[in-house]
Amino acid sequence: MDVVSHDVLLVGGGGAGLRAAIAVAEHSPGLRIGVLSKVYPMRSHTVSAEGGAAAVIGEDDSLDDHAHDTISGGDWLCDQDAVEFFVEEAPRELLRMERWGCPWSRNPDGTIATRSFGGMKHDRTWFAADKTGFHLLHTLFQTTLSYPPIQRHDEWFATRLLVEDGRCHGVVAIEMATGKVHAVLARSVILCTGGAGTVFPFTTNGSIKTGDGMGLAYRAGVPLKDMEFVQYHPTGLPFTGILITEAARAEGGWLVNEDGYRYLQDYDLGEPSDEP
Amino acid sequence: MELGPRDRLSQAFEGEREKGRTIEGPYGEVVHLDLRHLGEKVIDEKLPFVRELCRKYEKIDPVEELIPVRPVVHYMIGGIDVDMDGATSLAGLYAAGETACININGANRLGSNSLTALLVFGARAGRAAAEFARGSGDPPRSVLAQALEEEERLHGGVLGRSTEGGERLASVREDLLATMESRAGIFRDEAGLRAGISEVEELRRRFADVALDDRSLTFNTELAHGLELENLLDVGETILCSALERTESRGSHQRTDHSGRNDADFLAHSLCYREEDGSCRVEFEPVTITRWPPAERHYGG
Repeated sequence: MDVVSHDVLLVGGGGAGLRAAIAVAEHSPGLRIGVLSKVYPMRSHTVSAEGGAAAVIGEDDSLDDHAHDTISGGDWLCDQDAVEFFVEEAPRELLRMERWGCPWSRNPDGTIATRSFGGMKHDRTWFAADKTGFHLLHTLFQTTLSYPPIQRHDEWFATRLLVEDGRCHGVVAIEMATGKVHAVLARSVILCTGGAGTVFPFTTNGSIKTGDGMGLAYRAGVPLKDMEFVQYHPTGLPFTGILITEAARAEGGWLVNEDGYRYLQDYDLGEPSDEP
Repeated sequence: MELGPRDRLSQAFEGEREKGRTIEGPYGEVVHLDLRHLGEKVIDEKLPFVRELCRKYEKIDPVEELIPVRPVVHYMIGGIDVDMDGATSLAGLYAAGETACININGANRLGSNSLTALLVFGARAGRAAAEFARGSGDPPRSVLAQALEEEERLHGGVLGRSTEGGERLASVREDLLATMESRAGIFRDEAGLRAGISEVEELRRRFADVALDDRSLTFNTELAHGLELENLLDVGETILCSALERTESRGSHQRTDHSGRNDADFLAHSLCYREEDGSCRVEFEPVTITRWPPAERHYGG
């Protein structure tokens, strides 16, 4: 059996995995970093995100408003300490993405453009046209290429965590091109394997989102939290499940029934108006 | 109105379906998204990808025509239990992104928070995992025994299994998806969830009999699908078990037999553990409240 060793191993090469890999490289330049993914990183599902990324930037906006919108919209099940950290870091992270090359859409005067999004009191959704995830993932990927300690294992499928004496020491992975099984050892492992929408028949998720990290962790005794909360998006195309972004409604689109009637007014969701 | 909470909009679709006011399409019931009044200029400037997707996959042009839409599963709010550093209860194991749950999304995620969250918490988990790696030694060689065991399972157990009278991967997967849609979809109740849990138990038995036709080692996608289905069965079961224990309605979790939010008992996260015998055990732990005491749910207002 082939044995590969890293100091920190990322399982999953989407937005979270690549961002984490860069953070490791910046924090500790001496560490050997592995990024292992069952797909080539640019095929990760982050690439499909259309609408945008939220962070406070407008003068009329505030971190407290972003936190309150998130907590209230989440029906008070959010951990508020984590939300406070999140809203504070959010603008810094998005500006960092710009320095790494993410082409955020602009207002005519050159400032960062934002759009309104469901549940947000102010316009605070940054976007790169309607291909935000695509641009974010490309930006992160090209940035990882500038860090030599980051070594990739593309199209390796992690099948088991290596656990001994109450510690995780790496994973076992099968290399899809050859069927070879590898022991991938590491001092710490970060699972960034995305969601699991394909456990339902109609989903916006790509077929690769099969809860792999959740399964690995769960079988190793780590609990899964708040699994009953599965978010439906109200506007997917039938059959393919392809997402029609919420931005389509943010720009003023209407939902109508077979009579052409804007039925949401019957469900305590407000009055019809021409404004989004 | 159209920018109301995603969960409420999806529930409204179910309401229209019950009233028979949805539109029958080739792939089931739909409603329409109308962008025609925005005009070609706005659509091309602000929503070019929407126009491209509609043309490519529905053969319609949203400048002139209505877009057929229906609620679709979009995001797992739940996931691997982690703290703000992305640390799990297992030393050395971290998680970030959609697979992890801190939880900043609560019972309903606001669109556009999660792209930012994967950056913010991906970076933080990376720093924490780097710290951990610097402070700990290399893995003991003894863990390689587990790796050999796993190689034997993959090469001998899974690929070497007899195909005679075997169960089909696709049929187990299809039945799992149908169970999840009917038992743990937009609206749930106790009887349905209990039935769903026993259906998944039965699917696990069938999965154990699955035989693969493809025994090759080069890009064996059938093997990959089998490994994925193993994970989906775990995910499906934990969704059903957690949904059964949360006897209230909050955000994207709606129980027709327990309407309304119940803060006295459920201002809490569910934690689903795997028992020795493979079954689920669900516990609850309190939500962290700092400055915003629970109030009525407002949405962008």
